[in-house]
Amino acid sequence: MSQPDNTPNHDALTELFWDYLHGRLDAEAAAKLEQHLLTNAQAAADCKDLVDTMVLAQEAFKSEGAAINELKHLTGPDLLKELARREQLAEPQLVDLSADVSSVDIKLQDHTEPLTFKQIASATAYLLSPYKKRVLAFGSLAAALVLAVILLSNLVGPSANPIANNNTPTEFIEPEAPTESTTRGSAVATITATHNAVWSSASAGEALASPVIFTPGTNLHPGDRLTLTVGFAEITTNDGAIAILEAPATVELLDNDNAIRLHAGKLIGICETESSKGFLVQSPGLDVTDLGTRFAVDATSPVCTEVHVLQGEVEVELQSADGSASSAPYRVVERQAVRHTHGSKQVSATEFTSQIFRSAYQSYTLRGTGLAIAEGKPDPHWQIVADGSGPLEKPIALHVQLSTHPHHPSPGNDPERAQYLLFIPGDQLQGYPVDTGITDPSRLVISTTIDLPESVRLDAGDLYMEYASANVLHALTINGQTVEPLSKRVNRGELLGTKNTALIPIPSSALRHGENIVEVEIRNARETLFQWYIHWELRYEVLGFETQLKSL
Amino acid sequence: MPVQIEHIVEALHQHRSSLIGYAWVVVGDAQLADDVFQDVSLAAIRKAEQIVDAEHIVPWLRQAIRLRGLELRRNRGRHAAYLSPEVLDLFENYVSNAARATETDRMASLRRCIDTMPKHSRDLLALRYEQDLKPAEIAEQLGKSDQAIYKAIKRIHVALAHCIKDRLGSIGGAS
Repeated sequence: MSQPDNTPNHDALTELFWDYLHGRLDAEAAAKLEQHLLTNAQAAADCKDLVDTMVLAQEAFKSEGAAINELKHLTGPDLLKELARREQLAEPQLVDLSADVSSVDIKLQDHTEPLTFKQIASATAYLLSPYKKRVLAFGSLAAALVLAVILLSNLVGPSANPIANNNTPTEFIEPEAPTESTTRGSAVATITATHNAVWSSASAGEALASPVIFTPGTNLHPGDRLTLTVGFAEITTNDGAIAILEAPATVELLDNDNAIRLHAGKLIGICETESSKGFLVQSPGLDVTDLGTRFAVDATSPVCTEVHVLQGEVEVELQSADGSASSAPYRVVERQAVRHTHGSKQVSATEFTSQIFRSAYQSYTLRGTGLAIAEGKPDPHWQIVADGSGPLEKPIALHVQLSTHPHHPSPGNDPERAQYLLFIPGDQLQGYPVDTGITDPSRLVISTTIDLPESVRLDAGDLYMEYASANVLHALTINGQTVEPLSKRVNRGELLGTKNTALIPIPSSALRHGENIVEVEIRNARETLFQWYIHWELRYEVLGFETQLKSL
Repeated sequence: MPVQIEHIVEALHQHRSSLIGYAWVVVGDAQLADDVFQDVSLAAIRKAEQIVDAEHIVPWLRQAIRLRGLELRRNRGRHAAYLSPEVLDLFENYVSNAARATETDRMASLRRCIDTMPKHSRDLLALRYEQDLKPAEIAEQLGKSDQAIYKAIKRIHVALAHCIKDRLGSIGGAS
């Protein structure tokens, strides 16, 4: 193995670059890193190699985990058939693949030699079948999965990763015209919308096959298995439930008018009609049944499945080894989430996030301060409506001021960026033409109104706030309802002295279509500092599928 | 004649890690880099008619990643520090540099290197990526400090990067 460049600064450079990639670098250290990079021609190449290696390593491990995830719910003949399909073996070659379990014991413990397909299939079948208890006796499920990774790495090899298949032709195949096949049974669902969707007939662990385009209107039948490799797609069941997929994801249609199996990836279920109530999503380890709601299932991890409820409630039920539900169901309600680690016999609460589909979220800018307003001019959208002594007789429009504070540089007359509303409290606010009437500046309530169009789905969302304030963000109120908690990062009473951002969770009930009144209460906690720097950028981040998909 | 969508998909596959790596350098955040890549992938397919020919796909992707990355990092605005445009230029030059080995070769080398790593290093990467645990969660599971795990993971990646370079050099490919 070659040695690293041993210039005195090489290790320091690596350290700095690693910290940068993990968001741990301050401005001073960043300047040092820049100096290294700009003065050493090889430095940027080495750093690029390092970051690319990180991405590749992540891909390599995750693709193998995905291969296991794909296979581990299969047992017995189904597993062997799947393995044979992946290896393109004929049915006769399947004979007695799982018979020799005693040799598998040896191979599981001593796998230094390359294994044949027969051994791999046998070992995998053994590992993932009812015999697995014997394997699990050696350790935890995690350890068993590590063994499976080793075994499967022989099976799937580099081809498990799409990167490794760049020589594969990417011919696009036009879909067949939708038909009602008599041999496949009646259609149970339809693709109702797609957004930049590229499909593949391949599944994880298999070489990248020819991409396929399924267009809206394509009927889906029991047993159909679809892998979405790029983009988004919406599938509607015969009973009216909507499943929105974000790539990469693999689903399979069941012999049921209101159900779908999620093998891997992310799915959001939307049930807005009476007939769609009871929509079932079979995900790895968990059955999720809608009770009139919107929910997200995240099965991207090879070791666990998460369910996040955006609105309403769902029932989740653990599956037994044969795939059937095996326990009393758990109820999960809005803004709650549960996680199930495969192999465990319980589900546990986990932190809710409405942003399961991060890249599908649309961000609605609600009302930044001072947008498109020149310095010194009033912002008609933001007003002071109360001070420490109570509501003001007459709301005061805040004026845009450029900050001269060294830690709060003002964006300065940028029509697309929120700008500071800056003043010094007292009888006369700085830059203000008239007496404000504020008598107690220790507390100020600043208000705005925001309009949400009908096209925005009012799911539970997040209010993204970017602000700089030398004061305390004390409360956020929407339509008279106080939003609690503000967030982990913006605890009530926290002193905020620098630029901050916060994602404040908003329940679906807080906002409404049309006009919404938003009030931000700040308190001056620094007796020696009377300047108020206020700079808000408010965005409401919600699912944007409806708008995105219909805009095609 | 504008490029075909399949050429874009092929380019995205061929240069995936290099493009995501570049996005990571631009935004300084792994998750945000994935978002940038996803956004740019979708944009490239949507705007295929704007790319004049196959040779311009990767330059287009590089530029789009930079612009989208700068936009996202400006919107988020919560990162400690960012690299300057001059430094980003340096990194941009290494994306799809003709002198570099293909991603197929790099992935194959990586797998070989992983095979030769000490078991505890492989286990650590499996915990980090396969089980998607954060360094702090790994630290808790292994009874070590966050900092020790953070540094160990760094050392493993540095060693892997050198190993890949070494392997590619020995089989005649420049990294």
